[in-house]
Amino acid sequence: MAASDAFKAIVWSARNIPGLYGLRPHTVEVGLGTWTGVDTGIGTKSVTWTPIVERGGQPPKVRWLNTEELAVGGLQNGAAQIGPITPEFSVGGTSVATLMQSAIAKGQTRHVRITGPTHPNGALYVIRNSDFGSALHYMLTCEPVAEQTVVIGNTTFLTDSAGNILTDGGNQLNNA
Amino acid sequence: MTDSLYQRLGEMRLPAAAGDVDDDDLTLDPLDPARDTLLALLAAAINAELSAAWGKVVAVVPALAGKAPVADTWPGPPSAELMLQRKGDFPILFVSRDGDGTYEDHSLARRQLRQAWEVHYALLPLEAGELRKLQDVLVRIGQVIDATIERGGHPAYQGGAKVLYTAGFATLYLRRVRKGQAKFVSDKETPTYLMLTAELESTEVVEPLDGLAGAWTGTSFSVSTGNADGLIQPFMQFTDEYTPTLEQWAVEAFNPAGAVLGFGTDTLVTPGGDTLINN
Repeated sequence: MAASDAFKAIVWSARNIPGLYGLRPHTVEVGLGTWTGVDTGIGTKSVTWTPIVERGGQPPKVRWLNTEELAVGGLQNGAAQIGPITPEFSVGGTSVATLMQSAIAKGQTRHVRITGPTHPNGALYVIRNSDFGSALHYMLTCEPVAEQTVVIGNTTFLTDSAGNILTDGGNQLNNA
Repeated sequence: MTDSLYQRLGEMRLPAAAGDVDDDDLTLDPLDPARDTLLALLAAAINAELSAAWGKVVAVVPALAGKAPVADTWPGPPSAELMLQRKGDFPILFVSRDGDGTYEDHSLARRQLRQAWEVHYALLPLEAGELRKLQDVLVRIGQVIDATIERGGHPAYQGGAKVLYTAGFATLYLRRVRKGQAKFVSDKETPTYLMLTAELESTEVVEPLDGLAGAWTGTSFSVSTGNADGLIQPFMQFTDEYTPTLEQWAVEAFNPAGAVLGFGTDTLVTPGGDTLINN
C-alpha cells in the first residue's frame, strides 16, 4: 500500500458524508458512445456509462460557475465544476483513465452526464478542462451540450456499498 | 404521392423520401449529396496525390507514422464543441456549406443556389522539428483541391468519373486559401493546430424532376467538347426563353414507375401498337 493511500482513504471517506445527508443532489457519470455505423452519428448509438463516485457510491460535488437560461425549459448556459474527486488508490477512488475515457477510439464520443434537480432527465456535458495536479483530488470543468430525453443502449455497472465497480476479475459487471 | 413540389436543386430532390435514408445509417446525409461527394472526392484526391511523399516523411514522425495525409473526415465545420465530443484522427478534413447561400435567378425560368463552402484541413500539434518536416503539405492541399475541381473528378475516386457534375454542381470554384491556427482553437496559449482553410463557391440550379414537366418556357443549350473520358466543363451556355404557342407536350403529372403514360385522357401508344409504360 502506497504511503499516499492513507491520505486518500481519509478524504475518500470524508467526501461521502455530504452525500449521506442528501447534500449531493446531482449524480455524475462519464459515458463512452459507440455507433453501429462507420462513423459518429451513423447507425444507432450505445453508451457505456461509468458513475463517478466517492465512498459508499456517493456522488462528488457539482457546482455551476455561472448560469443563464437561454430558452424556457431548455438547457442553461454555464460551465459546471465537478469535484473534488478522489484519485484511484488501493481500495477506491477514480482513475484518470476512467475520467477521461482514455480508451476512446476514433469515431466514439465522450460525455459527462449530470442528473439531478437541474437536469431531471440528465444532461450531457463535455470536459473542457481537467486538473489532475493535486495528489488528493481531481477537478473537472465541463460545458453543457444537450439535454437528454431518451437513453438508448445505456449500460450501468454494478457497485458495492463502498462504490467500487464490481468485476469478474477483469470485466466490469453490467447492471442489465 | 402528389403533394410535393417535385423539384431538383442540383441533386437535392423534393420530396425527400424515406427510401433516401439508408436503413442502417439512419442519417440525413443523403439530403446533401453534393457535400458528401465533395468530401469523399477531396479526401481520395489528397491521399492519392500526396501519399508517396507524405508516407516517407511521417515514417519518422511518431504521432503520424502509418497515417495517410487524410486520416479522418467530417461532413461539417470544425468546432471546439465537436472536437471535445468526438474522438477524431489527424490529419482531418472537414467539408461544409458555410458562409452565405444565396437563392437567386439563374435565368428568367430557373432559380439557383449560389453557395459558399469551406474546406478545412487540420494537422495535429507538432514540435518544431516535426512541424518543419510536414508544414509544407498545406500548400499542396490547396493545389490538389483546385486541380480536382477543375477536372470535375479524380482518377483515384470512382474511376475518374466526373462526380462533381453528377453531384449536382453547375459551377464550382476555389476562391481562396488561408493557412493559420485551427478554427476550433480560440486560446493563444493552447497547442498549435495548423489548418488550411479553402473557400469555395458553387452554384446549383433548379431543374424539374424526370417525368415531370411544367409549361414549356424555353430551351437551354450547353456546348462542350471532350472525348471518351468525358466532357470538359461547358464553354458556352445560353437559353432561349421564347414562349411557344404549342400546347404542353410532356406528361402532365408525375407518374410512378410502372404507370401507363398518357397525354390528357389519351394513352400514349407507339406506331407499332405498344402502350408506353413509365419504367
